[in-house]
Amino acid sequence: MKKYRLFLLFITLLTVLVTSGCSSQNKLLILNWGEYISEEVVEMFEQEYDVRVSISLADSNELFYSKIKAGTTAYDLVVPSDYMVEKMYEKNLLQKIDYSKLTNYDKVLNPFMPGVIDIQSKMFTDSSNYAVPYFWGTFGLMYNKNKQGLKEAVTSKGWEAYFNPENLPSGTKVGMYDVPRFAYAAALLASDMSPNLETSESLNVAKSMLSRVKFAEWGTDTLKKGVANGNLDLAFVYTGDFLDMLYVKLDDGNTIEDINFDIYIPDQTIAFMDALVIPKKARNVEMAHAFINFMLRPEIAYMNASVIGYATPLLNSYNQIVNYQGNDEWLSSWAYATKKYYPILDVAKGMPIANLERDFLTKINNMVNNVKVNN
Amino acid sequence: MMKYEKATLQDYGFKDYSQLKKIYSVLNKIMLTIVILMLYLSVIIIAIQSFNSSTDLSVFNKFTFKWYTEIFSNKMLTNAISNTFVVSIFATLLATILGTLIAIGINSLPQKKKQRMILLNNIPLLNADIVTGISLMFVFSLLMPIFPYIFGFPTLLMAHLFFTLPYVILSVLPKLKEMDPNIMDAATDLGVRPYRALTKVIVPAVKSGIFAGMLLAFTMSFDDFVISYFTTGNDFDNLSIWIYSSIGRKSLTPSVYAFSTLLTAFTLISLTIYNSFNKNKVKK
Amino acid sequence: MNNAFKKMSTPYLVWLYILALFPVAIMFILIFMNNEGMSLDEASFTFSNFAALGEPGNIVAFINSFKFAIISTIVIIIIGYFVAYRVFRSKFNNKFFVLTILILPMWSNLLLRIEALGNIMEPNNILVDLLSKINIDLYINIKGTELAIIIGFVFTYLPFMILPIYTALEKIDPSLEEAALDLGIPGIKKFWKVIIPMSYKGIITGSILVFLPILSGFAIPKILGKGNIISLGEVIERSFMNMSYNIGSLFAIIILILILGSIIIINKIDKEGELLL
Repeated sequence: MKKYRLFLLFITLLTVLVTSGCSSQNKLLILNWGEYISEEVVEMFEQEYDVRVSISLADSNELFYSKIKAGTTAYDLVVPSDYMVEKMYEKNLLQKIDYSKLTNYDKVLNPFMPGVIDIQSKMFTDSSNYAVPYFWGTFGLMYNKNKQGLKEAVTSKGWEAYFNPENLPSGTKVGMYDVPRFAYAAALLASDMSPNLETSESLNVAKSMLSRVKFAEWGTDTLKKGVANGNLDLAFVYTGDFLDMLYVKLDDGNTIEDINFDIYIPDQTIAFMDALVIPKKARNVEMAHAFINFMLRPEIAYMNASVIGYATPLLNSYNQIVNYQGNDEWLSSWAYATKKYYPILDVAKGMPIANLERDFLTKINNMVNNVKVNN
Repeated sequence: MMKYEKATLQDYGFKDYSQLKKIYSVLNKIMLTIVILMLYLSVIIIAIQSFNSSTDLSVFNKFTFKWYTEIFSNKMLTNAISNTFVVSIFATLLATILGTLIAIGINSLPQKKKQRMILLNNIPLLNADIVTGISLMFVFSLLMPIFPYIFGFPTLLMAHLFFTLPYVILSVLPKLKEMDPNIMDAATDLGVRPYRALTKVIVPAVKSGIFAGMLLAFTMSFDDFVISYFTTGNDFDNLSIWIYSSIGRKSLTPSVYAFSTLLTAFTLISLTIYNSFNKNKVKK
Repeated sequence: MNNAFKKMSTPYLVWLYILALFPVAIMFILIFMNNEGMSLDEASFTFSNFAALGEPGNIVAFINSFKFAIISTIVIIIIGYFVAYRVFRSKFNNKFFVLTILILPMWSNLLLRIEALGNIMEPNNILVDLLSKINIDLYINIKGTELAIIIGFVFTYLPFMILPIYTALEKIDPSLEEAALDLGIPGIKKFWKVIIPMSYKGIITGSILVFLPILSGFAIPKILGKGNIISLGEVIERSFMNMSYNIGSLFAIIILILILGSIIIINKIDKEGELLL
């Protein structure tokens, strides 16, 4: 009896191991953020190119890095943020993108928005050869309109209000993003310094700036929800976070006027960009390029942005969004929001974060922990 | 014939606890209800959120069933759910069977060896999830030259087995220890071969330990995120990975709440039906 | 009898050596190195990782996690024993049914459950909204406090104590209690002198299953503490995410040494192996 069971077990394990060894037919493996691509767009690509797209998920750049570095799965495409692109490039994990295969990319007439081009120029040299922009945005100070005096304080003083409880109405609950890197950057930007400095002086400046406020909450996705429902009054969040809450409220049937929160984007802020990169170990490089090319089609980018809600990098799609004149409530709100929070300015707002030395990042982590503990 | 008064307990020196006992039993029932409420509070809130038409979790907008139907239209979600079930059920079955056998083996060891085994067995429980996840990923990646596509279901299964086996073993071992050793001797005396004795004698004696271990193993496996993230690959994500990954850029779709509620309700209902079914067949 | 079964656990020994002990050995080496992840390029031998033990943030995290683990485990033992005993003495026919019901909430994803709990621990939440519709006003604001975290731990890990205690109680013959009464040991004393000594192994197993996850868990303190209260699990997780396996391994090894060390000491004191397992 026991021998029979063992035998069965052995056969099962063998089958499992063997079938896992079968390589798949035409397949494209993508590692992406959760809910960060429209399923409809994926299906359209699958049908047009007769390929199976499978998307694996992770929720942070660091997780992306661990997976790609370990190389346990040969992903064809990954969607890291700007600083992670830099880190992967430095560690030799990416391959060059062959722009000759990207027919939708007009070299002469750069199809990207000025804000995106600005970010690319501030990133490491040669970055555009390794990363194609996917979504982008800024960080801002999301505030509760219902709190007396808060709107005036934030819009007139910006960082001075955020990091200085005296400039805020009493009892303002302030939230900070619980990624030490972002907190460090915010503190430096508020002190009019570059967020990418790696000196002990910058560390001390950041520490004293962060120590000024007793943050009610350090969170990630909880911040946007906190401001929206009134548990928080002011928080440092992605602009995309704010838009996400905005669209949720609009979906619920509210109008723009009903919304009780808004965002103020300081001139000195973080600009971020999520980009498509191809790891060195990718197997289906042809298809990866085809996918990038597909996403560069304005109508596809438009469709993707309409589902995801973050800012599209293509100028054509942007124009299509903001020039909407029709009667559809949602589309006009979308046009209004996109134009208001991602205006095309003469001088683009924001500065992308660069990749820092691992040891320095540890120091930043420790600094933030100490701030949390001392407050 | 004289009539004698019936003696009361008090006459024998016992205190009258009947009032206290009544209060005690009512208190017991209240406490039990509070505890059940404690355990199910979060599940109830999740159920409420699943019927909320708004994605905003702090306001109840309108009652709706739409999230339930949307579970099936979200391809990635259904994929993740089915992957989770496959891995967890497979891993639980394997862990229960193997764990019981291993526990029997450990129990037969001399004292020193037994203590060493138990010490080693505790290591998977002691390490933080991320430590286990990364170390397993590292060890499995050493196998990659031989099995290039091993990352995915095989590694995920092995990883789940790794952290569920200790739970089964910890549940079965104490029961084995309490088992009367004479039973085994009696069985062998009667001519039962060892492996038969195993299934017919030992297993029934430790039945409740096996069941408890199985429940614990399934629970730990079903809900795991970190270890699964590092040991899966090739597009075999599970539900926990899906959920944790969805909070990065956008709001979580309430379809997950709908699924959670469905799972809880379905299990409760099947258990109740099974139980009432069994009540009719219970022998006294 | 035992000869037939002696060899049955050897495969598991090999399995544990490869998957559990080997990584621990690697972690031990990593403590003394400064490299990224597990790669050997740019690696160097150093003692600098031990400086992490002096960081105030890390020390507080250490104390926090132990504090939560000890307090929560004690509370869970009290409540868990009560529930297990009640189920044991109850007249339910199918006790397995009851046990499954107790563990069922844990099949819902931990993140969802903790967020739901956190949701109602704040002033503006869904319950308050619903209740206000029927004119009941409720104000709760405990999120962000240590109490909230302990509540979260207790609500979450309670079933892990109930199951082992119940399986331990199960073998106690109910007539033993009657015998105790007959012998003149009333109510509470009977409990202490008869029932608990026979079932304390369940308490120990349950404590292991509860104390260890709480010690190294980080989701509950992070969400219910609103990010202000750092836990040891979070410190370890952050360092691993930052590819500084060295510091993370340091803390992981410390936990291992502390707990395994205690078990070894207990084993030495208790020669017959009666105490633990």
